[in-house]
Amino acid sequence: MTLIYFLTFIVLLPCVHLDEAVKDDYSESLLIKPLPDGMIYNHFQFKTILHQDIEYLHLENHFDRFPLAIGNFISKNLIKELTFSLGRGHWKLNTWGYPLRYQPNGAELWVTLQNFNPNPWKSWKDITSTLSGLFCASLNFIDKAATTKPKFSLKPDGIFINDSYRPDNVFYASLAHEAVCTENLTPWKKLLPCFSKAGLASLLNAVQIFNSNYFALSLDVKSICRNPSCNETSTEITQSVQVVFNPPAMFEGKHRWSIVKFFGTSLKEECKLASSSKIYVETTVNDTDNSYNLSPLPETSIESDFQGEKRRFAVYDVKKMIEHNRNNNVNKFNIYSMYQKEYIYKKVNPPYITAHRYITGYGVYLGGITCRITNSLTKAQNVTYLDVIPWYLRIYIHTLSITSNNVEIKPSKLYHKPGKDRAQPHHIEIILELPPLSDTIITYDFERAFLKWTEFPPDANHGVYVGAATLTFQPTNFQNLTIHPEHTESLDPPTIKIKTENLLVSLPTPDFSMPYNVICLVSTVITLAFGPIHNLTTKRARIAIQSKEGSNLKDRIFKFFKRS
Amino acid sequence: MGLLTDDKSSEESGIVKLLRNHANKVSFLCFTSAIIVAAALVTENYVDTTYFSDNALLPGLVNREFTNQPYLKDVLTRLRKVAKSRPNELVADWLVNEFNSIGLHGYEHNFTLHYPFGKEQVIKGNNVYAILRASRAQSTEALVISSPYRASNNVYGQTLPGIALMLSLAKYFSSKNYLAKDLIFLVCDKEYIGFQAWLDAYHEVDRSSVLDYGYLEAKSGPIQAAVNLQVYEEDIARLEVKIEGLNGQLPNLDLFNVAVELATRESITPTFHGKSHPFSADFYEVSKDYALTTASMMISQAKTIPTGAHGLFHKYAIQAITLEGIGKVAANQRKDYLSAPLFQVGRVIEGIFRSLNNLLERFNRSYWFYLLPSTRRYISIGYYMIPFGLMALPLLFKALNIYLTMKKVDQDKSEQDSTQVESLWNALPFNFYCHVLGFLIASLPALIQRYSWLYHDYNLKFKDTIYYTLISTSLLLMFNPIFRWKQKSEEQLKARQCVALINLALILSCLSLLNISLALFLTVLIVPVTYLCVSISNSILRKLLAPFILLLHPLSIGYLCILVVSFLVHHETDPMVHLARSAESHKSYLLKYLEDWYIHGNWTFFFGSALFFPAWFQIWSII
Repeated sequence: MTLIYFLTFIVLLPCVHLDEAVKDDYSESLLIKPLPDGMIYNHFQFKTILHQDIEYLHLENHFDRFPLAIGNFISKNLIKELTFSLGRGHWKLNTWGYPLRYQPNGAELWVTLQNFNPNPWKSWKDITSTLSGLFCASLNFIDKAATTKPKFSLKPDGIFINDSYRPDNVFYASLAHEAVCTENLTPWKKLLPCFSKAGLASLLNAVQIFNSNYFALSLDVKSICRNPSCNETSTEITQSVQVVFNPPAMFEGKHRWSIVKFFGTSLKEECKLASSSKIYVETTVNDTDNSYNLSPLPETSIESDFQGEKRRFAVYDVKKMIEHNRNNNVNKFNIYSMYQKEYIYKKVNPPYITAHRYITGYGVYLGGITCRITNSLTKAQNVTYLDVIPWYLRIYIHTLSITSNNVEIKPSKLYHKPGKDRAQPHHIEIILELPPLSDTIITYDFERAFLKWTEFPPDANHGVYVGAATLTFQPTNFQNLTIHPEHTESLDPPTIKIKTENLLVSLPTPDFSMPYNVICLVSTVITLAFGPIHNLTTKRARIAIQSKEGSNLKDRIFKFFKRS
Repeated sequence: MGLLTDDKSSEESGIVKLLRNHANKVSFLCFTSAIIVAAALVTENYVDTTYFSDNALLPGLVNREFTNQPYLKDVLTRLRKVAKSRPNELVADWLVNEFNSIGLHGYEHNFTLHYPFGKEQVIKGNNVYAILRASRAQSTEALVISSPYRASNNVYGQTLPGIALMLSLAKYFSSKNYLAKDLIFLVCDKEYIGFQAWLDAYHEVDRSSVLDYGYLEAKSGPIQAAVNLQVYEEDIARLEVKIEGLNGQLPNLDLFNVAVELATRESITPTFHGKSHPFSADFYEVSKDYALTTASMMISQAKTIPTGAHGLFHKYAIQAITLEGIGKVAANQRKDYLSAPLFQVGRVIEGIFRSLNNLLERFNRSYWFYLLPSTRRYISIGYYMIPFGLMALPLLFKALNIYLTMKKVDQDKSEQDSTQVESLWNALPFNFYCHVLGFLIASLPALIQRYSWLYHDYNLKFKDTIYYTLISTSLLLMFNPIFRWKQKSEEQLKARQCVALINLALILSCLSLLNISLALFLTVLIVPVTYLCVSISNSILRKLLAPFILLLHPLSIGYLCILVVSFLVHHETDPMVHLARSAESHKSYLLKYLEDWYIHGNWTFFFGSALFFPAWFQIWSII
């Protein structure tokens, strides 16, 4: 039997190798977009594509540009799709519009496992442990009490040939309090083929980018079509960094920006391994009041049309620009932008669907969570709402109410998995139709549980965090969407995922500064009270019959021993 | 073993003997020593120096950078102009525009107050607020800078300089990227009502029929602290720090300390109840200063009315203070204060908020219960509870004494007639009825409002109706033969006395944890009279105490306080005028407490009618 297998293997081996010259491809880009309130959104995207099905990644024994660590990790844990992000700050949806990739504060991990994974929970455990080692993040805190398996909310990003997608294989967890810092960025940069030595990644200077208004880094693994017929897939890794800078905070109150000021360095060297390396500056709104000049002038300008939504971009090919500068004996490349007139803040129209979630009530006994979803379109919109609440907020599901403009509405689907103490979070998923021009309010009450004293987080006590809720929908209007010029050719309408705010909830917390005193006092009181109460409850009280004075020595001695 | 129940000895222990025979002496000793301890507590030897309990606050460690921006002057001029042109309203659209031009988003918040008493009356108002989102963190925590909007130069002074300063600070902070907590800038209309509506809307408390708080378009996370600005002039002589809140609740002492420390560093004199920290070598001078300031604070705490809009934040576990910038003109009679320009106040506020921004946890470890003898000294709960305890103890001693001298049921059953024996349990129903009556009185305002046509027909105002109803109800109860104690037996009287004393002691000690000042004042007044009343065995002599007890009726206490203040303020006026005037302002105060109850949740009326009145009534019924 073994021999047959071996022979088959020997016969098939050349086929695998000869099938196609296995190649991987790497490209990088930076999109700079001035946001409506004067802040500058920078989206770095580093894409590595390996022309191999993700299921057969274990057959690969040599990686070129594709990161080896991730390759081994995927094949070992049989991952089909992985989305991992670390973020700091809140994406201000109402003013900034929809970003390319919405990431909440803290860590978020969403994994789809391959269908024939024998032990999904073990893989999930291994994935969190491996990632926490790879990125120096505390993902090992993701346990069963933090994990959910969303039913409707998370649709796969990549390609699943033959409809092999099974929602059962999806795992999702978020850690709202996880902080992102240099120690996460450095290992992340090491996955890139040029590290941070050359190319756009050399701009990712920790001192500068953590001094921003929003920062998020992410790693996405998914399958894409290798050819138009889509009978084979390739594995794609997208590493992205999103930074939002506030120019006045960096330029002494002035609204101008340059690559050097933002990142502390200019581009000195191109990444030779990259097949393309481009910087796009969005210039769509450059003809309005706050128009700006770019210097050096862009090489080309492209206009992209995304499902009818037109955007203009100035394009800089980094390789060419550096080559050109080098010929002129200048060893660096910088872009800077200046407003022609003084910058004027304008009223910003919020996107047509926004979601904000907040805590209601006060005190440390009861409370409520309310999510307000606004639809400013004149037509109804279907959305999916996913909320994962930690077990220590005990949700009263009977108080769940969904109202739209003060009228109760029925969700088309409602899924609720109640939480279990220390084992399972509360999981609520709602599919509903937002009426046109409406304010929909989802609200429910909760009670705060008492934690055991070892369960409190070890850091300064200001409460516990509740991870962001996710609102997923298919947009019909692309006005406030950030569009990447390289992604305009896709035909499917994109799915937008909005994350609401993380919540901070204070739990009933003992004063940890004096547990010793409390323990001592309580023990003393219990000890003192126990004896008499025990006596009172177990003995019958009777009026003592006074014996005649037993004054002789024998009586007194007898009495003495009796008393003690 | 036998610490709680000493069942071994059939003979009485020392304490029991002492209480049975010398209760009066012990009680007198307690009461006098309470006064001595109270006096000693406000001397320099016993007050503690304030310190920062939370090291993360790091006050004054950062360089404050707010400077005299041209924007500050410019925005104040424009604000004054627009406020003058539209005198009777909050210039909401202008403020929203101003916030928008800074780069923040300004929001309006509309609210409606349905005045709960008298004729249907609707008050509408709108607040303006803006949120500066923190760059260093997500919007999970927030700090508030607020100011009431007073445009006209009325008695309270206009607050436009404070609002201009707030706008200027908003512009300043929006170009900084060190904030880890959101900053909310809030301008409130209609004084406390605006603040209450905004806070209710922020926390979405249960909706009541009185205050329709509308809804807030944008929110941030839980609010950690708030500073309410009331800056009246462009040049500030001193910065008054106000802390007493609704129901006498106090903010965390650390917040007060930060304000005092930073004001001192910016060479603005911080004052508390009009006094800065005394620097004098004279022991008696300093102690007198301490005593006066403490008394002043205790009076304002006992009034349970907030001294500024900060007082409304406390209920929501938000630490809040009011900084009142008092101008040169108002403080001119005291030449010892240097004046400081407005931007310097801005630097103090910048410092406070940067300190609060550093705060990692909630204010938790430090002091919540304290009395302040000066801006730099405090008396903690550990000290001030001693005089209170010593004052309240006589009530318990006397109760025990009465209990011990009562004839015991078991022992004397064989010898005595059973009708002569009285158990404490038999006195409890009366206690219960008294409190039920108290609750009924507490619900009188609601009842009267429900049947408002009754007094509208007689052209009476609600104010008068409730006042006279309360007085007549009290009289009706007091002189009602049903509630008079029918002199059945000595033992019955003793049982009632005992229960009345324990009830009173319980109510006062509970109150002491919520509002020490009110508890202490009530204890000082009621304990001696009550003690005398239960100690005198001669019923005719006891009757002589009736007028004194009458003076301790909750309404009479209020009236007397107003009368005393009236005499102190205008000494030369005719006493009869005082009496009449005090009665009139007594009515207004009563109405104010009722309004505060319905709108803000002040519990003084409820405490007076449902708890204190029944306790008092029991004492009245046993004379």
